[in-house]
Amino acid sequence: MMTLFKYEIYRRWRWLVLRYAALIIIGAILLNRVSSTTYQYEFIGESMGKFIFSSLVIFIIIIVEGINMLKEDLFEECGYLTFTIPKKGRTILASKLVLLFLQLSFWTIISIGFGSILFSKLPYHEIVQIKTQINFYFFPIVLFILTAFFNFVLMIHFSLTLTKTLLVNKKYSGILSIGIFFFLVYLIEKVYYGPFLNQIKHISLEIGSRSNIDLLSGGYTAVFLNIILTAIFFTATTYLLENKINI
Amino acid sequence: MLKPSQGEITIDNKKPGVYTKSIVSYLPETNYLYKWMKIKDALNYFKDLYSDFDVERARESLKFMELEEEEKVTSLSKGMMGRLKLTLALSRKAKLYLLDEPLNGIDPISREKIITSILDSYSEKTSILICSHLIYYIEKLLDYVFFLSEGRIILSGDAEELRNKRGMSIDKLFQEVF
Repeated sequence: MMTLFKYEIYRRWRWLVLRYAALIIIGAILLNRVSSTTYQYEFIGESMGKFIFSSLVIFIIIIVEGINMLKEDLFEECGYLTFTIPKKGRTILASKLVLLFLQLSFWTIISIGFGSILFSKLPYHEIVQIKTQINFYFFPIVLFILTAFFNFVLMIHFSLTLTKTLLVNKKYSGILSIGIFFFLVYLIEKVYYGPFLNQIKHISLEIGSRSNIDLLSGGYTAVFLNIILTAIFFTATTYLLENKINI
Repeated sequence: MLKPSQGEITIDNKKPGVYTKSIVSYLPETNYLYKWMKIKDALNYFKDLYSDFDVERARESLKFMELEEEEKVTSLSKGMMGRLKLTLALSRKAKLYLLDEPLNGIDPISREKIITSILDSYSEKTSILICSHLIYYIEKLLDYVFFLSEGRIILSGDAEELRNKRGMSIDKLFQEVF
């Protein structure tokens, strides 16, 4: 897997460096502006807003690239290079997901790093006030975001791979992939998350605990459901990659 | 490479999978190498991912094909790309070589080099399956031929027997059949 991982980095290192360098430079400029002026709350808030926006743009780029990593191999000629090597489907997919995880980790470190420094520039009483306002279930939320992220990417990977299994022609592959993806979203919501979380909500009401259990506040339950779904999509995608796709 | 709509394919008595990929060397018609690659990167990629890839053989082949390791794959002409792809495919010690249109769009000089290279790679332990429309150029390589039309075999047989039986070359026979 490490060999394939190495070549995934080779393929993309320029863009990887560029995107993180851009985020660090934006963060540094905003931090410099905030540090060099006398405290103006609106100005700090505005800088934080600009940084969060930049960070979100990079996050979206990471997701798009995570999808494209497999899409390029499935639908472009370089796929011959990937799918004719004697490696298992899970090794091929895992090498891409490890790179995606690393990208996400770098993004998180840079975003939280600059975000925290900018946040600390606010006056102390304001920081305390904001902290008390945020009712933050840190670990369930972080785990939920992480598992939901991989779930989402793998769902698209599965849709693309299934499309490549069903269609030889590239012509309608885009429409079919989107169709499969939205059908999966509908199906999962109807028969997977929906019934499970409603059941939990019902039990919670019965025993009088928190009643607002949904995907975000459902905490570890949603994380658990996400992990199962991620494993299913990973297994299904690797099976198709290894046994069924038309190269 | 498409999955069969019916029937079964086995290579060395195994269904297509990781094992068969390790013993089959495939040369696609398309330019499948990554655009960022130099020739030496392509060599390293094959060395890293195919245990049967012979780097020394590949380097010798590059010399014969008049290709430089520092050249970028995007700067290669069609003929040079064809020669590089063939170098990569034939530098593996595979049991079966699948060559898809190795001469398509290739200039006459490159064509000769490619044919010589295929002849040099032949051994009793290996099989080479060549798919081509340019029968004239590969005539001397052929032991057994299949003529395919719309996914069906319309004529097949030992090349020498066909020549004797029909009194013409395989190339002429090809033109007659199609």
